[in-house]
Amino acid sequence: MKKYTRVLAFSILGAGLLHLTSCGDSSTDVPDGPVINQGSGNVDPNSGGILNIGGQVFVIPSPIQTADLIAKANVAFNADMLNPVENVSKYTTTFNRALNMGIYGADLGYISIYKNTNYSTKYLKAVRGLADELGLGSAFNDDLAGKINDAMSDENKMLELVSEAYKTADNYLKENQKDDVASLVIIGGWLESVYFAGNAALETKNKDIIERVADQKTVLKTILAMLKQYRDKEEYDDLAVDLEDLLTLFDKVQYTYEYVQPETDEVNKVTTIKSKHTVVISDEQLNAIVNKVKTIRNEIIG
Amino acid sequence: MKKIITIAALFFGLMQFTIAQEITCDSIASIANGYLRTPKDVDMKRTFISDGQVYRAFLDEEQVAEFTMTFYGNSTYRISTSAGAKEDFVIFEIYDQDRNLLFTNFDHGNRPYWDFKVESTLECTVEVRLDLDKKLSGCVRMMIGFEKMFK
Repeated sequence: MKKYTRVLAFSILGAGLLHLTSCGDSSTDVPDGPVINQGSGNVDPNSGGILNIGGQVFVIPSPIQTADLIAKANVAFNADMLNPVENVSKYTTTFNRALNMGIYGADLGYISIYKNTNYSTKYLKAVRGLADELGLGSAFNDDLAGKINDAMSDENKMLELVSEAYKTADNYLKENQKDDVASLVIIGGWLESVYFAGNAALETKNKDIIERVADQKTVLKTILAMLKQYRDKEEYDDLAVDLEDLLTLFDKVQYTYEYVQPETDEVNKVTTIKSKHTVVISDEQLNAIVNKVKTIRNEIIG
Repeated sequence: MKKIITIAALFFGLMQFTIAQEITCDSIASIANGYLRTPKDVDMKRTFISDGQVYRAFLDEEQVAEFTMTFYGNSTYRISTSAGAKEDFVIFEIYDQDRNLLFTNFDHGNRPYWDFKVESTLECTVEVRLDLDKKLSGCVRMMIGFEKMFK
């Protein structure tokens, strides 16, 4: 029996040592996640869990950031721009559910920024319904719903909670090798934010909002690069074709870029990036882009 | 009996190992997330909202994670990184579209997070790698937050 106890003790000790090496600063950490980019430029073919092609990871700006810009420009809240919650029952495929979960998430962000509590509850319910269907119920659980309800009068807190929930969902999808679904949620959110910005740009002719629309060219290129790996599936390819058509409209917009030395404030740990980027976009080009975004978005919401 | 105890012991060891690995990467994500809202931010009533995405990699020697991104003009961002309990494991660098180096935290003691005021919209690449003098391989997490404009 002593011998068996020693075997058990050794295993526990071994496990303990592994625990210490994995949590510590050792150089012997055991791989526990996907390889992003090797020195050779190869990517681990089993690297589920990251939005990754050829060693690149794609970062898409938050839709909340564009809603924030629209609110700052004093554009009035427009409920007609939201995807009606009654549409939720129409979404019966993973593809549609994921895209519309992104769209409703952007709607919820827009509603939160305008502190429009009349809409918050039902849009949260719509998001939770789609999240459940996609197996993401844990990201939008009762606890979170309660916290969001409590935070309705504090938009900063609410935005943090909504972002946190989407981050949890994103992480869950990537951990479970559902990067394609994670991409759709991100694309839906992005598209809705450009739809908001496009409408606001036409309505107000606000220079910052117009530029925000024009600036989507680089984001769109990133999205198409991200979608490339899923284009063997018909519905992903159809979406990519629509987005490629949109990209051709951006090709007519003029962009310039000039590098300027950044300035770093060591005390406050902040660097000001002063490089200059200019955009020249005509009314006609803006209209064409906004109309195309609207068409793609309306096809998705059904 | 011997076999049963041995199998049980090995199973237990494996479970411990698996849990340890999970805790490691989760903890790292929490650390990076925590840098988006520091006690100083609370004092300054400043909020960085996460972009809702989780950027992750397992990096080994010679490996670099490359993040293609767009910073919007007239915005302030925070990039935070973590690869473990110590703050200075990760080196991150930002390059513009013409491959001009805009920032490296290596010049600032590998500080795990830094803020960026962006005057004009910028297409850039963030490269993330481990400081091999401090850690040879491991899980890396990066978070991006933007400062809310509308009050």
